[in-house]
Amino acid sequence: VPVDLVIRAMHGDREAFSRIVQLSHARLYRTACLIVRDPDLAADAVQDALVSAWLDAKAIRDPSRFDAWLNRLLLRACFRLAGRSRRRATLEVPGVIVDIATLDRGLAHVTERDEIGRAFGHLTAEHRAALVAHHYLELTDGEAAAALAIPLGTYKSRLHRATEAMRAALEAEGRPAPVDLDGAREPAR
Amino acid sequence: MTRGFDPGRDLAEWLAGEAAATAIPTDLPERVEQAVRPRGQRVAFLAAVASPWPSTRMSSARSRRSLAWAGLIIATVLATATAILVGSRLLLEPTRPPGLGIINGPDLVAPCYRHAAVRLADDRVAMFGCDAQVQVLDPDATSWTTDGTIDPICCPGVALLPDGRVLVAGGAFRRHQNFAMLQTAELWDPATGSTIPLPRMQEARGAPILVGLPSGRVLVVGGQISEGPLSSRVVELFDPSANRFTTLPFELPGEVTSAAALPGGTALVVGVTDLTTKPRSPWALIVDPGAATASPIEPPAEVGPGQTATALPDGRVVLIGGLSMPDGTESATVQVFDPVTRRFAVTGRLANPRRDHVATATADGNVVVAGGYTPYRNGVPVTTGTIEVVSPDAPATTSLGALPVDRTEGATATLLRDGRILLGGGVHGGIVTGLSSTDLLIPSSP
Repeated sequence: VPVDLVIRAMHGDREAFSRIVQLSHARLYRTACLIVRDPDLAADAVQDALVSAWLDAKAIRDPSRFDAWLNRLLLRACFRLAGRSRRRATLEVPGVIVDIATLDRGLAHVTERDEIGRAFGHLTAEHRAALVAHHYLELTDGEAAAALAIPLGTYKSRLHRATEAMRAALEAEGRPAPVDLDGAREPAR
Repeated sequence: MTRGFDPGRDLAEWLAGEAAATAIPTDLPERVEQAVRPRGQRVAFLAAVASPWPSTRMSSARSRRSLAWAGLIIATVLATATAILVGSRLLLEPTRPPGLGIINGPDLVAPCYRHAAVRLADDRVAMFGCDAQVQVLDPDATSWTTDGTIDPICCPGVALLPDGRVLVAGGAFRRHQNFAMLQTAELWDPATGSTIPLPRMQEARGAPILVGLPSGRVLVVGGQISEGPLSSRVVELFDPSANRFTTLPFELPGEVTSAAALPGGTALVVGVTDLTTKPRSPWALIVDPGAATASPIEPPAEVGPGQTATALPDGRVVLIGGLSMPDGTESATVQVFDPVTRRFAVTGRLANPRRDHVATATADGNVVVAGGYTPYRNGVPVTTGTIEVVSPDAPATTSLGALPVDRTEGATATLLRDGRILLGGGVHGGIVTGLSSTDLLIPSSP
């Protein structure tokens, strides 16, 4: 997000904040979806984060760090919402009343990607957030720790545990365990 | 996958792919705008209060007063609407014939359709697959509770095991806007609400039929697979003592439409040849898991999707309704299979032809049939809530009024220990989301 927009938003410029929303909501939503694994909760998390950003904009100390600060607000919102009722009381049926025979058989193959996805879905929100911060947002360890509002050492151990949990979940899925872990990012065993 | 999994490569690629495939809600910026709009500029106040979006922050005394007024207005409207609905229902509710009571049961925590239900050893009822949740009801309680989660969001097969745990096999999960079938299976423990993953089945199966056998083993047949014919032709057997599936050394001749346990540890499996080709012919087999054999028998006259097979206390099996294969219309035929003669006989007809209904055997040897689809009207499938009691030896059924709401598409009916029947979930006409309501049928009520 351009710094000038952040500075204008800090001074109550609604148009600038609207522009920030336009620029950031898609990235935030995608990140939230990866963590909370529920589109409705993800939308709630994004809205919570952006509303918090607007209400607390004056408290920003370094406008150049706005993205990191927004990530932090988003991850907090994700954790808060993930701790609520796990599911919404709406079970969607796509399009029309679905007959089992019409379910898309072309996508029914349980692929390798699905296994990763299902293993990822078995992780806790905290573990997913650590993996998303590292592998999707590509934050440095320091940035990720700040975004997660935890000490650097805690983040490193959480990332390690998340990777181990991913390994265990994949093993439960019946596929080879993870190898070639990035040792530089793991604590010594 | 022959190579190992590298989180720095595979997970990063997966996360990027998932993110790229995520559809962004177009109204998200507007929602945020609405939430941060200055209080004086807020529009559609009641809509904002009622909005599912949580972040409309109001901290001023003025806003609190407005909220209180809005709450009062909403409460008044709801109370009035409730009174009208209750009053109209009392007036319009069809007269119940003697011998059946129908009352509303407690609402499910989450809507369910194409789920599965089982009565547990402690007489509680558990529903599986309602958006990946397990929901449990104590018949003496007034509300359902969630008690763990499972892999499939719908369409699992379930069977109660001798140790009280529940086998949950197959089902479907959402991948973006589509469904994919699961090969996975798990054991759900009602004592803890936790699940234990099991080794995979050979086939991915959506809505498989699980037949519990006296030995404690469970036969797994049918269920939609990912490719090829509509339903699996592979027969698998789950052994709870070894916690694993074995594949029986034969394949079924076509689509499985229904199956039921027979005396002596065998199972009746009924189906039609491939639904995607013509001509379609009915077939029937008796599967003996102990001998790992399948014996063809003379098939019933009518077999089709949406037909139910219900085992009676005396060992016979009643086939009811379904989609008639020659002309594709809902069938009213009642057919009874006698395991002694190994023959089917048409014994009667329903008052209302139907498919995708529920059928529950009662202790007196009858079958209570409810809900489903009746024949199309003006090109549109028509749901029904009508209830009939099928006596396997009588040519006609006894109509017993109708449910408060039509139910079809995977509603479940569970016989409780005291003879009541709990119906839950499903969908009804025009509604494309699952139902969260339940009904209790009380056959003994005057």
